[in-house]
Amino acid sequence: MIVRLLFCIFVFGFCLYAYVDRQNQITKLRLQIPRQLADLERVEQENMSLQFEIDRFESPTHLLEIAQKPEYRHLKHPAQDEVIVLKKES
Amino acid sequence: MGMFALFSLLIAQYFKIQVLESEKWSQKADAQHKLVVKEPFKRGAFYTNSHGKWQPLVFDVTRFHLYIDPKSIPQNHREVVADQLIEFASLPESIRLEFERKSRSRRLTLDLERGEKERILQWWIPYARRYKIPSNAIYFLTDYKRSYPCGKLLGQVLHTIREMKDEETGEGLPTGGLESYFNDLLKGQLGERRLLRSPLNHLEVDEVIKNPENGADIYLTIDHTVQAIVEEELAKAVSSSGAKGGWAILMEAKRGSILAMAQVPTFDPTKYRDYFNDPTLIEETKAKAITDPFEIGSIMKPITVGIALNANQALLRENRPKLFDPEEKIDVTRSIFPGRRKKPLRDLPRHKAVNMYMALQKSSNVYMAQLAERIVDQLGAEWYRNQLVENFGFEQRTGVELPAETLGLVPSSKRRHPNGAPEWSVPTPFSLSIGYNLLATSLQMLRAVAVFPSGGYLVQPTLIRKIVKDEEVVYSQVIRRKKVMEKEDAYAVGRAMKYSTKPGGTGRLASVSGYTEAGKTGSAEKIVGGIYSKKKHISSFIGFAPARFDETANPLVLIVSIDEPAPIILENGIKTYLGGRCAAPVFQQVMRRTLEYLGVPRDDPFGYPVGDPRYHSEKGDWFVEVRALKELYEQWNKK
Repeated sequence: MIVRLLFCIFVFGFCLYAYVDRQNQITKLRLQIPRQLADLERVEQENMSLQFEIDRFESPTHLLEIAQKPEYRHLKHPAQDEVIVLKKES
Repeated sequence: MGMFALFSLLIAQYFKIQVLESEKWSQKADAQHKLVVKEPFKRGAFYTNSHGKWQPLVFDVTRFHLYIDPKSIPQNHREVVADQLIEFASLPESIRLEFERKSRSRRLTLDLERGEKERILQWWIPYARRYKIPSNAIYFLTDYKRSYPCGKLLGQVLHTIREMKDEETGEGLPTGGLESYFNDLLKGQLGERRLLRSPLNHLEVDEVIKNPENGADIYLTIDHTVQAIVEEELAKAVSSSGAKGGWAILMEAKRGSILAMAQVPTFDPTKYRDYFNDPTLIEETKAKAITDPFEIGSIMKPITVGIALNANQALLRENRPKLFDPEEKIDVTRSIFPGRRKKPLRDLPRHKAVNMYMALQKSSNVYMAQLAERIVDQLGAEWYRNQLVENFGFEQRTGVELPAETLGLVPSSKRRHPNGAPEWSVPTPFSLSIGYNLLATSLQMLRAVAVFPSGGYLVQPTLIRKIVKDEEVVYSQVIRRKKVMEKEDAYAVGRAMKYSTKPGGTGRLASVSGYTEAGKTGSAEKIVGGIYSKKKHISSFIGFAPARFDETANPLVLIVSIDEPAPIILENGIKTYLGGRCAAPVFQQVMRRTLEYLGVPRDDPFGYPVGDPRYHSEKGDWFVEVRALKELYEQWNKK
């Protein structure tokens, strides 16, 4: 009887330990969520700022200015009938 | 026993607070510790397309508004905190007053950048910990601000929203343009965010309890590179002609898609306050191509010819003889027309006889007036007016997606001027035929002329390719057009317009090397103080390229209007303010650069100026026809 009781207490204790341990793990993860979200938001914002800089650099007014420079003057827009599309064979 | 009673009382009180009045106390605690703030939505962005690549022209970037909770900041720390905030965010001294307010939330400044926010937090968090001040005593609310990576490109069309948003709804207040027209789609709905004032549990510090609903993104038909080309060329022309300003619109003739809508002087949306607070600049906030109608002058003449060809069809349907034949030799020595005895109509230079092609090439007023006379004689004034309104879209809104589009004016026999005189009188058709006595916007004119290269269709101009909300396309461009002319008649007018841009034509400076083109010049006198001014003009050029007349062609139609070019007459008699001088070169440059940029194959490989190695007198497009017309003209107009 005592053995059974001890076994039950042991199993119960083990389950309780496992439960608390799991809860701790979950709490740890939950605590990480806001930090991860903040990090994600920061990265997204940085991406947006960089994209803004790229867009500003690639703004047509700026590109037209660059195209006027002597080093790019030889470049021209190819006509549609001058473009050859090569298909990659699989 | 007494102890038991006291203990029972305690339990009862505990039960009352925790169970019976739990809701009341929870609400009170929430009110003290929790703070619900509005979570902003992202206003929809505008995208433009160039070679299939979409690029944002306007979008929201994150900004931070700085707030304090004065009650949470102990008195002895307030000066230090204020000093630091003033230094980090370049704030005015007046913010010190905010620390003394009996409030839990005071806004110190708007629109801080991320770097400024991080600098403040890097100092504040350790400081708050060291002196055990709640870290939420200083906090930031996130918001969005319009940003323009392409600067003032397309400024008058886009416009902007005011800096201060509606506090209740968080909605931006548009200043005009597309921002105003599509405000209902661009705006979203606020969400809610819960903050804790003195957080013990980090899980609940900051939580979005209702997600904001972002606005729809609008994808425009505008090609930003083409827009930049048009703005650049227009600015050059306005500067070189000493003009007050100018505007231009480039549109696909068959689809009605507007590729560029430029105006000089420009409007910079990021400095909208400067424009709206200055009476001399407020004019520049309007998209004049749709808000300012004017007497369009000679660019009306292709429309007159188009109406005359429609009259031919109407008469044929009634088994009556045709009104005129495009090849017909018409005497243009006449100058007196009914109702215009005091204002004879003349051509400069004068001609003896011309046909339809010569009339458009030489911009003959007398020829057009005679066509108008025949139309009114054969079919009536009302038929003529209906053609202008119903078929060519004058005095009707084009339907372009911009606010404040004006109707313009076509005189009506049913209306009277404020002085009691009827709007439509005997000489009205003669004036209409040469672009006077009616008011039209540049966009109305553009779509009227687009009828010719499109094969007889009046198309609805549009700026919108698609609208996307939550990654779902809620609107996609539909081509709206109606048949207003027979295809062959429309193409005949288009072909006649080709003479204008070749040697002998008024618009020869519009000739686009390597491409076919057609067009018409116009220089209308402005009314100043009730009379036509000889010094103030609106000089225009309208045309299209490539000028090929078949189903596969995708012509672009362009109108350029230069407002009040300097009235200079050179020693050789050249009037630099005429449309053929100041507006036609803009057409030539814009079309050449645009067609090259779009990769449109050259359809006139021998159509270059004399002296260019690529020039060929026989193979160049329309060269043979122009020489034949010149010979015929000289034969009919021998001195």
